[in-house]
Amino acid sequence: MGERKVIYSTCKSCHGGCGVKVTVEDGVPIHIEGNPDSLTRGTMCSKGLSSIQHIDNPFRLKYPMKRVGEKGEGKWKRISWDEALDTIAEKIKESQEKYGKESVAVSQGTGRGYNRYIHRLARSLGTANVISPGYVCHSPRLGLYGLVTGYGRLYCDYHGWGGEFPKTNIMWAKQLEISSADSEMCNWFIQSLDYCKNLIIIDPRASAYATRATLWLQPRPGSDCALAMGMMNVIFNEELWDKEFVENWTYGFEELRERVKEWTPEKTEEVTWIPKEKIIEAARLWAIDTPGTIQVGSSLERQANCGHTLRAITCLMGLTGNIERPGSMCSWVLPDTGLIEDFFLELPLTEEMRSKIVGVDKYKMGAARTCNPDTMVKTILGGGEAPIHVWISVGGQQIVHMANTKEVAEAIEKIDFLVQVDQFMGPMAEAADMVLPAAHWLEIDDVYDMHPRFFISAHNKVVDPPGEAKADAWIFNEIGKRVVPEHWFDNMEEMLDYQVRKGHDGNMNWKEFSEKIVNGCWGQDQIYYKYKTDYWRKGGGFPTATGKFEFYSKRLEELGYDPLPVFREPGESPYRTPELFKEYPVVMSSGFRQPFYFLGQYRNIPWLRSFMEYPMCQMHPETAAKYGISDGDWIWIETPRGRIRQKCRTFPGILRGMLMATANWFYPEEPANNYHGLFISNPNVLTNNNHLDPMYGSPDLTCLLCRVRKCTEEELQENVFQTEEFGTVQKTVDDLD
Amino acid sequence: MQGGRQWITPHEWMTKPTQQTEWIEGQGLLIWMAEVFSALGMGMYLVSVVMDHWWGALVGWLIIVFLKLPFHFFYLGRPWRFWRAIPPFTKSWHSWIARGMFFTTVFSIFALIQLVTTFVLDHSLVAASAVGTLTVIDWIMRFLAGLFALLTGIYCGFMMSYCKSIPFWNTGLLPIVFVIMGIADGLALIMGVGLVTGGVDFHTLEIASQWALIGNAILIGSYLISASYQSTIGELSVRELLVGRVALSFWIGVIFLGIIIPFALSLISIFVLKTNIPEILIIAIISHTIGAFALKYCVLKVGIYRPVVTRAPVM
Amino acid sequence: MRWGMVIDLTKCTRCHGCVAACRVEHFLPLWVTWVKLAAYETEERGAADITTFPVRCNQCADAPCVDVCPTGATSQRKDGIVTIDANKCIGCRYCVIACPYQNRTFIFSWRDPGYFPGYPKTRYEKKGEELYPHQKGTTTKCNFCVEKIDYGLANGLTPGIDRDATPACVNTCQARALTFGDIDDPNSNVSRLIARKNAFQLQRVLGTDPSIYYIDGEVGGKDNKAPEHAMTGIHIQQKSTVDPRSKRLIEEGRKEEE
Repeated sequence: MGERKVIYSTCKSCHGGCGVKVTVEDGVPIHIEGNPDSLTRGTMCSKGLSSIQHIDNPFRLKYPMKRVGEKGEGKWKRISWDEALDTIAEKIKESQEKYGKESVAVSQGTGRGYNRYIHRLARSLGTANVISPGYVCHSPRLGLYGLVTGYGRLYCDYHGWGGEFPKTNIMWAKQLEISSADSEMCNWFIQSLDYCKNLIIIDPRASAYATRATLWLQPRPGSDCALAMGMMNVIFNEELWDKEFVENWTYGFEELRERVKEWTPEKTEEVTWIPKEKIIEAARLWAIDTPGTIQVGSSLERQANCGHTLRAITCLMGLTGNIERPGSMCSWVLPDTGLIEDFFLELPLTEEMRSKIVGVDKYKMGAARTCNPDTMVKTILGGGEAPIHVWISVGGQQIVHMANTKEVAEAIEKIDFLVQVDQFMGPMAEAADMVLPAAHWLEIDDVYDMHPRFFISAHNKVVDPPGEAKADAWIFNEIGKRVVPEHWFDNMEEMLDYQVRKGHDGNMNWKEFSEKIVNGCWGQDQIYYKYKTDYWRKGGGFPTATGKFEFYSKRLEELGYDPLPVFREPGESPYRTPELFKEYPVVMSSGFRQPFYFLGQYRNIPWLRSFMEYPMCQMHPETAAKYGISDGDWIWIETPRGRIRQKCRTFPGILRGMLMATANWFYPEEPANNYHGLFISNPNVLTNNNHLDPMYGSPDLTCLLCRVRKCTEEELQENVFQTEEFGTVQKTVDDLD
Repeated sequence: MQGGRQWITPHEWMTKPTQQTEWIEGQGLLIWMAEVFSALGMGMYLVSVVMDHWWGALVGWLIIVFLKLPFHFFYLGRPWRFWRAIPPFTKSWHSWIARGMFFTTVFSIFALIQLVTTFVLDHSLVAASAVGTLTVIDWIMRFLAGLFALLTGIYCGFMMSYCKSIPFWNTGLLPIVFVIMGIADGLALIMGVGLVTGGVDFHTLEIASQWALIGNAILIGSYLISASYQSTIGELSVRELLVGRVALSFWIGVIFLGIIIPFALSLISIFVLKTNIPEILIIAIISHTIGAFALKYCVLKVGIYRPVVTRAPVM
Repeated sequence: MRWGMVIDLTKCTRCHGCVAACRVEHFLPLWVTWVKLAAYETEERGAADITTFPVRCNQCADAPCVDVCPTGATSQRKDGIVTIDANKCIGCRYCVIACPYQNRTFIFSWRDPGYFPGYPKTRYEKKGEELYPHQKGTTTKCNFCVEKIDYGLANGLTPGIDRDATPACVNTCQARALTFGDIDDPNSNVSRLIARKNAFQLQRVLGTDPSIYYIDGEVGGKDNKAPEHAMTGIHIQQKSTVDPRSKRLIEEGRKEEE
């Protein structure tokens, strides 16, 4: 037996946050499990555990490479780090001189702890064109919570520190229990169910707890705002609101009351397809059994009415006083290390930078800090002056997750210089001019801070990355150093020290934090009812313009939006486009997520792929039967934009008349020439990028119309897949010359 | 197959009745062969010993030793450890495979001795003084080898009928079906041998064979009827057999070729032609043997697992 | 002493963590799983029933696999755990067929192309061949992490309570749906759950008497008052900035929780 040591770290296989304990023998990780002395008490899910297979994946990128063939041809040449970084720096400078600072964009995938580096890089370069999936995931929530309460970081209090757990838990279009989206929060939620009186699931499709929950509502996709309005209507009619909170701490109560008058249970039933008895019961449970929390899923942010949907849901929280109460929606007191996001906030976003954001004139909420990616695509394809010339993309696959894949791919191919930082050759990398190899979280030292919540945690390096792969943070720093050295650091350690410097009364450094692993603020240190103290405002109140919780938003009015929540049908729906509905009679959502995948990731990890080899869509057995589809059939899903195939699994736990497709699917094992099978099964081939949310510019990804048809025998014989079984044909980077 | 792949669906192996594949698909075809040859060899040897037909007994012995055993051997994941399954090397006397291995080994030895003694006696190769003793040995060996041949034939049935996991097999009738079918097979095969070597009474064999076939048909019928009563999964197996995916093999293989054709041909031989025409006999034998293969195939193929997961009582 | 497990169907979220933890723990070849999730999904009278059954070897008291094994490779320990001695297994697959829970997997010699077919074995796989070898051509199944149990017992730990003596799947379950312990001891964690929650075994009619029990029920209906140990943030590691009151309560709370 070789030399063994145990290293503690923090998982980042989804948004992350779970404590990890890795046993290393002779430099090889031989065992991985949860760290029993961590927030997550030694538990881990399949994604994090499969990291041990992930890090040794032969398809990992190992060296910086530049493209030598056409885009998407898969021909690459290895280059040195110096050549790569110098070229990037040169391209940035060149583009900024020629087209202005805003012509450089920095992009990210979902938040993986590198958000602050991305924004710092962008801001230090003088551009605010950050391309982030935030507009379809979490940003609208932050912005609108911020608008209503003055503070954007509202989280569900599943902790019991204030003496009470949530009495009523609402999961709204969310499967918090499968962890994929909200990291270690899943642990707290599951734990809080031991103290939960009512669990209400709002989801057209049964999630794990749906059939055992107190109440399960199945709304028609895209009608969630109407449901929130209907629930408020019941609360008003039955006078169930929190009198004390509403009277003292809210603004615009009467206006809201007037607005939701039309949303009688009958009308709500008609729009949402939920029996009105259930709507009434949900409203009563929510209003009477307080405190309660509403966990909002990002499916609601993938709808073109997302702004108002979230406004309505936030009003529902305020109406019942579920703000800052133990066991309700809370914001957290940060640990002594302060706001890690200061790392980029300290560089100001100037008016000059803001005015050059793509889409700023139109999407005044969403494009106030980051670029609106759909507008960018449209502008590039529109043939005018391209807004973006150099694009530094880290981790994300815009080509996969954005609406209308064909247009996105076409637009991305037109970018002058695209750099992709990634672990594998994905579709985005194939469209790039240069790829840089990124390290896995087991291979880096970094500060874990997904959301500014009550703790930060340390990623401690367990193994060396393969080849010359580097941590994202190192890459940002090196690029930054070459262009704007005044904002960047001499080395990694210095940068890490800088981020945690405020801890321990200004005495903390990285090394100390790395040994400590978690730095947090919890238990009796947390403060509830902040609005009743001087926390935000002397004499109490919310940090909003009115000092109140704003049902009626003057700020929105100023920006030209409706100050009160309003329901708007999705761009394509049975009621908005009845003609289209005749031709495309199935309501479709691309909201199906599996617990062992994370967005577009992990289809190339054999352990995880073994759980679901092909993308699966779900339909109710009766709906499927209507179209002659049986369980296990490959089916075509068609919209006016195109068609894809997925495997249909009939599922009794889904609303009749709809289809739920697995999102973000490409086939890593497929060759480069069709972007790794990007157009075969990815539901974004079907989604519409013309109809966007007026506030955030979010497209309808989870509510559209489609038609379905079983693949014929001949079509199944077609050579769709070039690779028989995953992992057998794809070339590794070593095979490339 | 069920080991690795999972889809998060209700549709896979645990919640739905699933066919067993281990013993009939891929390498599992070897088990099918081995089982068929167990029955053929056993039937052949038993009938030959009773009919006192040396060549027939030899063929039966050869089938067991050179067909059944090798097929079993090559099926094993670790063939060279085969000896571990044979008592006294194993103490697992409770396992039907261990028992079967024991029966087969003992049969092989006794039958070999019997073949030698009978050969010696038939060809008067020993001194007259030894003939008496040898005859006694011969008879003892005939009895013992016959007994173990029967056990060799019957254990396959018990091996399968032990499996609670597969309701269709989990019935006491299965071993009997296999034995009777084996004897019918033996009766047919020995006629084939007799065509070459002579020394058989075709008429008696035809009559015996007819009775065996009738017995067989009745047994198969009652087996299927009782299997379909016993459980819903058993019923499902029967349905698969009669009208499902295996129906063709069952009706054409087992019923038509295995029972009706041989029966009809022997009726024709006895009552119409009143003599034995070798061509007809050969057709009957081939047809019957195909039936033997088909029967085991069908029974193995429609072995459907009881679903593991059934609805839980909610408090 | 008889080791057993209680699985709470109300809690399982289908995250597949147990499957992965098992693979990590035992260096399982790609297509071998010891722990499986069976999804039970039906609709009766308009009400859907979506249940996930985590399934693994049931460690039956009267185990058919032990009876059918011709070589004695499969045997039952005194503590009820059914183990396989791969060195004795001849690969006849009789147990695979006879197991009413379909929980035995044959490792085909030609169906193990490694984690990445066509590429060299990963470092982890190579380590596995050394530390926890699996023999091709033999049958394998869940053994309740018997190595951990033996290690724990030898070191004075209690399986099911102390992590180092508890199966990996139980440790990793985020939903805490799995409970492990001694079902012979009427006061053990598992026995109390079995008694209190109307536990049932799979395929009880077959008389195999599995050591794995399932419990089911509804979510919700509980009192939302937080116990003191929750209020202190005790679940968070001790090395962190815990307030003094919590620090004092950590030891008491841990005990209380258990």
